[in-house]
Amino acid sequence: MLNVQGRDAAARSGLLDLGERKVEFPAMLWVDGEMAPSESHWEPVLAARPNPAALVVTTARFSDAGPTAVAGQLVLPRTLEAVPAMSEGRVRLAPLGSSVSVFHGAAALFRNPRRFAPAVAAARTEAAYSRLLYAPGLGEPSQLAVLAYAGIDVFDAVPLSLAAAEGRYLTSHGSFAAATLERPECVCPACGGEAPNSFTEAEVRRHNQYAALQELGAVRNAIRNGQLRELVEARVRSHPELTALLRRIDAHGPQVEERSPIVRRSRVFANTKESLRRADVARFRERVRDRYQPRTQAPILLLLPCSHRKPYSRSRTHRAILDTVWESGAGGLVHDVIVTSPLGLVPRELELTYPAAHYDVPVTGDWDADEGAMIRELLSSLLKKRAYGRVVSHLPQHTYRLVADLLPAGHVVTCEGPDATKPHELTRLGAVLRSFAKDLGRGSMRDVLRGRLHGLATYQFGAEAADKLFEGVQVQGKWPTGKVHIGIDQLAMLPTDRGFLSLTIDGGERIARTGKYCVEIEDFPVTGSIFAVGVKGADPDIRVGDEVVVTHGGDVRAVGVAAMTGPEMVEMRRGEAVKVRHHV
Amino acid sequence: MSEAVQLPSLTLADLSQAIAKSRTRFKVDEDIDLNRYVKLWREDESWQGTKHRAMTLILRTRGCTWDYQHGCTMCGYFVDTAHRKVNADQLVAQWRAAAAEHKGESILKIYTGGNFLDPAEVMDDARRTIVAEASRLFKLVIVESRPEYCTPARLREVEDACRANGSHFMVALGLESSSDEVCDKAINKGYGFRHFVEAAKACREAGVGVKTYLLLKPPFLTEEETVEDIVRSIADCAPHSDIISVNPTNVQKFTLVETLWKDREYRSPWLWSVLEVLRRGKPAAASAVLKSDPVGGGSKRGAHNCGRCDEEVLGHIESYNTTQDIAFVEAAGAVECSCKPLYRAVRRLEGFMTGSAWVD
Repeated sequence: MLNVQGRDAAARSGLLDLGERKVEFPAMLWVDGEMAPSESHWEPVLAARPNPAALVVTTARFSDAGPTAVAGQLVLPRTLEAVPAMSEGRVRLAPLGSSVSVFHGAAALFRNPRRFAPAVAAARTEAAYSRLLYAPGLGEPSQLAVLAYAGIDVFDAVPLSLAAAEGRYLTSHGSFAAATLERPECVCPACGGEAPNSFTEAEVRRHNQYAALQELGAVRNAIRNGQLRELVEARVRSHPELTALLRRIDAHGPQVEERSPIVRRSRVFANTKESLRRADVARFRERVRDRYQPRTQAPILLLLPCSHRKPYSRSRTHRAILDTVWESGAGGLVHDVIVTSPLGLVPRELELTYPAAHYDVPVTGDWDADEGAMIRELLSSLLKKRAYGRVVSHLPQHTYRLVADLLPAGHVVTCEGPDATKPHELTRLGAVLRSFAKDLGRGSMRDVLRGRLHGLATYQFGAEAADKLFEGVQVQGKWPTGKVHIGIDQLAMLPTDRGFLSLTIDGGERIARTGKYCVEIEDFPVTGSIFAVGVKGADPDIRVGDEVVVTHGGDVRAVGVAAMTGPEMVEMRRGEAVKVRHHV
Repeated sequence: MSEAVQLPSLTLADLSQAIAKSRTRFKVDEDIDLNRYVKLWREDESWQGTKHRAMTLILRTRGCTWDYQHGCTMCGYFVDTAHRKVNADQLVAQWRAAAAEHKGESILKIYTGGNFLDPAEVMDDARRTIVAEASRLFKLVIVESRPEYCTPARLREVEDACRANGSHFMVALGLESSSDEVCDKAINKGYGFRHFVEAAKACREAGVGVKTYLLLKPPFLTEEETVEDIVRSIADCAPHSDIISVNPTNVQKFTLVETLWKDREYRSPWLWSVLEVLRRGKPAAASAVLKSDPVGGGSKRGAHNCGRCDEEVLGHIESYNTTQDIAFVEAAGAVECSCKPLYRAVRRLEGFMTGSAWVD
């Protein structure tokens, strides 16, 4: 059984519970006979013969049946099915106990990133949620982060010994010929501050094991802290093939996207070209393009630059701009939309969501071709969804030039230089908006709030369920908070910490009528969290962090936050599926 | 909570299918002249303790009958066969063209990419003509055949024809391994050790010599497993063999081995392994000649080490082959090279993986 304690991308951390013993994952299988006596107690162990310390025991070639297995041990059969070329290119997984699947031939496939990325995606999908994925022959320290990110949970130390036999000294940032390392660089017990160029094969091997152990710890912590992607992007810099692999994994991303939380608190550092394609960032852009609908009455589209501080409305830049908008009297007339990278376009109503409220990007003031194309695509899609009476660009000139040809004829440019917060730029913005307000009337701040909450709901639940939730409602509050109610019955509220709407039971009833974001449970009274064992069905669109409605036979039993994905809570027999906020 | 899991084994049909798939890009040449043999070359060969000149002839026949239905995982000799009937007249014409090239060599080796003793491939009339004429020109005639074609009557016929001209006849049997499991699951050979023993006994009874081929490193075996398998096979086949030739697998075109190799799932054996099976097999080989001619030795498709020590090691193996002096093998084993630690690690660790632990 798996006890999952942390999730990030397709990686999970936790404990594999085998009754007699518990194994922390991601795990490294240390190879029997390859350990120095001082580390021979490291667990778990991969062995060719059953021994008391072994967790995984391999069989002889062609053998279907294992040696007589000892309690708490898993037997790894080595049959011809294991060879990818024999299975017509399909990935074949062999079961290793009931909680682990073996991704046979992973090491051979790894030598070819083009084939490995789709193979590991297929393997992760086939192993589903209830089994760990073991990739025999993979486990060099610099590869652990990216492999864990792709969904591999169990590694082994075979490549550490092979590298040592070649005189390759492994670190988290790459592989180096030990003979070329003239100065001490590591303080692990194997190195003891000595220069590696005088090391024997056994000394290099022992260092490689320590380097893998250390990186394994870094990977486990990164998964728990939601920082795995940042670690991966740092590590893949050590070799072009690893960078190529990450790009290919991003291109085969559905299983990574499904497993990436939709709401969380960790920061996103968009430091690299690859950051544009990370699954949670790409998902945000896709949802803005495909799901999000502007549900505002505001006649003016105001395009704004992003700010360093998040959420934007708390930044000095945006406060200065928003004060200008307010003072112009057009506050109730404006739909403000932020143009940025790597997210492309962030309508004001999404500024509190993950990752819009959580990303940091090195600001240099110019966009590269990929960023430009992505911004243009999203802006075009917004302009197709809604016709705005007036369009105002308060973007710095270099950003404005990127999108100018997409804007409708007659749009107004209120920022003429590189800095949108300069007093003369703000004065121009105020003057333009004031003249619009003279024509259009003052508008209503309440309508603006309603538009924002409703627009957020389209992103969160999809347009159909959002429109159902907002039928005939009133809103109250002041951005960045808000409440949705009908008479004295509250349906939902926006807490600032999540950036997603939280439902009440009444709100849940409305969502449940559309069938979206529902978790169907067995017939039992809900008193606390819903555990996976009690889940009968779930909307496959549910991601970790989503607001969900717990139902049984059409009745709403509770509302809460998903702690697992929809497919995961259906498959798993153990673990918390929904953190319940309200129950009937 | 321990669970041993049973997986279904691949069947012969699965392996045959995978072999067939590796051949999809092979095209038969319809314009080949069936009156011309494929190839002919000359080399040194040691026989009965002395060095002889030998002529090797590849005849173009319809091909191997086993190969028509199944094929072996490593065998790509079908590329030199006609894939249609080659009649007795054409075969004799091929042979006579080759015989005209005879320059005093004392040994003739005839290979067909199939089985010289299979009457469906080399018709009775053609076989009789070729053996009769060849035994007049050569002291020893060696042909290759699967055991099922080594019938007592046929063996007696060829031996009698040779003896009449003061010549000898020898059949080369491609046993590959004395392990039926290896032959079945790694090679798709279609026969087992007992069939080899029967055929070898029939040869001996008829006075025909026996040359046994063993295959070092079929696919799916680790370096460690194949070394142990071949050392055991040498001991098993020695009582039935006059010559034991260890053939390191070379990667031939359109074979399953080539598919695996291209997928980076297979590496040809190390020359260090060749040395080890010769050294450890020699005492058990007893009176039989034990040798190895690594085809494509030192190249990526043949048995090789790291590229730095290959030439030196191959030189020692060649000296051993002709002298049978194991000191050459020991000298080769003592060659110092930086690839030795890696080879040792591969031997220790490959069993933990599927596919090849190490590719170049």
